[in-house]
Amino acid sequence: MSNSRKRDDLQPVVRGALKALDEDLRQLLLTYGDTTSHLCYFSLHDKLGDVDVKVDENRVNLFWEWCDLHPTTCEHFRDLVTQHTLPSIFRAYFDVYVEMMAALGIRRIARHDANGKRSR
Amino acid sequence: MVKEADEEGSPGGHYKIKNPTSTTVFDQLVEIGFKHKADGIAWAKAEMEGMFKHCLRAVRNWPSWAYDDQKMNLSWRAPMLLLMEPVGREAFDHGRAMERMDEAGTSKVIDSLADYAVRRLRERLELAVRGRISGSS
Repeated sequence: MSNSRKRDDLQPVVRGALKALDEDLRQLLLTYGDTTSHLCYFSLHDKLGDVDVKVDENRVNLFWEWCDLHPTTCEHFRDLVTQHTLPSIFRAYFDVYVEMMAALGIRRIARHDANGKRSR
Repeated sequence: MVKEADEEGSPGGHYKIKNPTSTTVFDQLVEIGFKHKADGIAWAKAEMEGMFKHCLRAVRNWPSWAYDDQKMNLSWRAPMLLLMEPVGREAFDHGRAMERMDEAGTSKVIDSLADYAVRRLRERLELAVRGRISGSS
């Protein structure tokens, strides 16, 4: 990748910082991608009535914690989900997933500190 | 479902926001950019775009996980519901929603979802860059 080649010109400390940021973002996106796809799967198949497996509560909690911090995205999600069609459910979770990617990478978001308090 | 995020998640298998700081990856890139490059924001933007390119593979895998709880592979075929509103442009037809597309249709719809994600991320990045330049971020 061209970015990696460009990084060869950077000081080792900068290359290290970039590698750490890359890894942080990758892990965050994996976690949230996994959470949204898991919940979408259960919502779709719950509607179809062909899955009888309990949804992972940890993922549910993380999802709503995130939505709680992003009211506009949450409102959009609820609007789509309440349409109660399979495509609207898929769209709702996919849009949240993309918004999560943007928020985690770019937008300043509120997060919990070590004591569970929110900060911006 | 076993995925990389499960294996490398936080202890006890609980999903928590890992980084307790208030800065985003882009914020940190800008900071590094200012310290080490003449044009810190442009450099940070280019790096952020590079990082998001890595994420595209995950976006392309997302639909197969979301519909079939399985990793994307060459034999996976997308359900027709991905062509229907509000994902696609066709009217919703419950009877056809679970039918599968062919290979070309699957590829097209995955490309379309990935393109959408890229557009959204670029829009957000542009806003963040403008905010930084104007000093309002």
